[in-house]
Amino acid sequence: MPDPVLERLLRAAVEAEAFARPIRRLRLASWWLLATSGAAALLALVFMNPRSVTRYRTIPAKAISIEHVSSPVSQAGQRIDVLQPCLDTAAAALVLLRVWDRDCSCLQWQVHEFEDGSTITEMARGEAVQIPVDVSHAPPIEQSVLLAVARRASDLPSTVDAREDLLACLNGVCPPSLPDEASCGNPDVLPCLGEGITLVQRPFVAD
Amino acid sequence: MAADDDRPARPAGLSRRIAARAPGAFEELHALYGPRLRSLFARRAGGRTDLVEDLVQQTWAAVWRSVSADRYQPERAAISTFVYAVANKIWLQHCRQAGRPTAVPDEAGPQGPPEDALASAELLEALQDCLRRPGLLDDEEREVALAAASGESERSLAGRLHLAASTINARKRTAYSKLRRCLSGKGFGAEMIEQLAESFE
Repeated sequence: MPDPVLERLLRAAVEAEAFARPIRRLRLASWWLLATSGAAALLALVFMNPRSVTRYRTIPAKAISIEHVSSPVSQAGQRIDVLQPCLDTAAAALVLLRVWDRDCSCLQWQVHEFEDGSTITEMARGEAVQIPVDVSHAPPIEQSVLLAVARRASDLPSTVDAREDLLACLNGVCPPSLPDEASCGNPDVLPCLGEGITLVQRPFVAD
Repeated sequence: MAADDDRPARPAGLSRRIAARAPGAFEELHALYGPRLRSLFARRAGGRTDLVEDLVQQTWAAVWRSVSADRYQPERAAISTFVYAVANKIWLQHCRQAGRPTAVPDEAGPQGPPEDALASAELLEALQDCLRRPGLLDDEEREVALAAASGESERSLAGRLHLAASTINARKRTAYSKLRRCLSGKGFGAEMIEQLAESFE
């Protein structure tokens, strides 16, 4: 028998418990890499059994590296830099970019689309993925790539609606900003993603 | 219906310091839960940053008014749950004013007395306690109840857990019944649950 009242309360109880958890910030030794190990502490897991916790185990941030390869300006005046995420474990990945937008002259969020039109890619262990970024018109300011990885592609926002929700959330916590405004790190955006996801940020400058 | 002291990940004593209006307590609350509040509204407001900021400010103002008027009682619910409940009321109030359709019937919206937010928060914590209570739900019942509440279909759930749809349905029914009984034991009867649940989408 459906019980919509109790279901509504259950949703709110889970959300309230997640809300009550203070955001934890971790710092790694490397100055350019800020990483946290996912939203594993999010609340649904509290209620689940150890078997479930194992299934939702996050990928450690140290298993993820992202290289930035600068490119020369082409004769046509175009410059495409390449970001190369690489994992030492197989996982699904979603690439979020906070990059220069010529139209608004500000930093904007983008969800990267791969050549086949998908936004989530299955990465093999040790295999680097190429993320071309058009930096032709970007000033020499800090842009960044955020790699969201999960053991299962289903943990990442895959539908159009889910991606729109994600962008709305990202723009809510880190609105489009001018270069001299405060930067936005992964602790800020982590609440926009679900449990089981590890987020690694890699700032880069197209100089 | 008193709040337990052993809930996880809660800044020790903040609820009491807020209620006592201790110096710096509200600033600490703001720093701890401000980003979460912004994120909560951002998810609901579809990235309208001006609206998000407005709702955040309304929420903090309402929380502060309640605390100033001694309407927040830390023994009934943690301050974080109270802030969450107030935020839900503010959101539903906004939806009603904006004419946005919600699950809330017109005659019973978020404009109830401020203490409703505290009662709603208390109900949420009671439900969290029931979900955690050892021996109340078995693992399968808990997983089915939470997954169903999050909107996962019975078919998907059946495939994921390798159970028949009828079994999923039976587990869900049992879990809901146990949770209702547990809430009733904490003083939340069906009518009160119905009324307080209207604060949440």
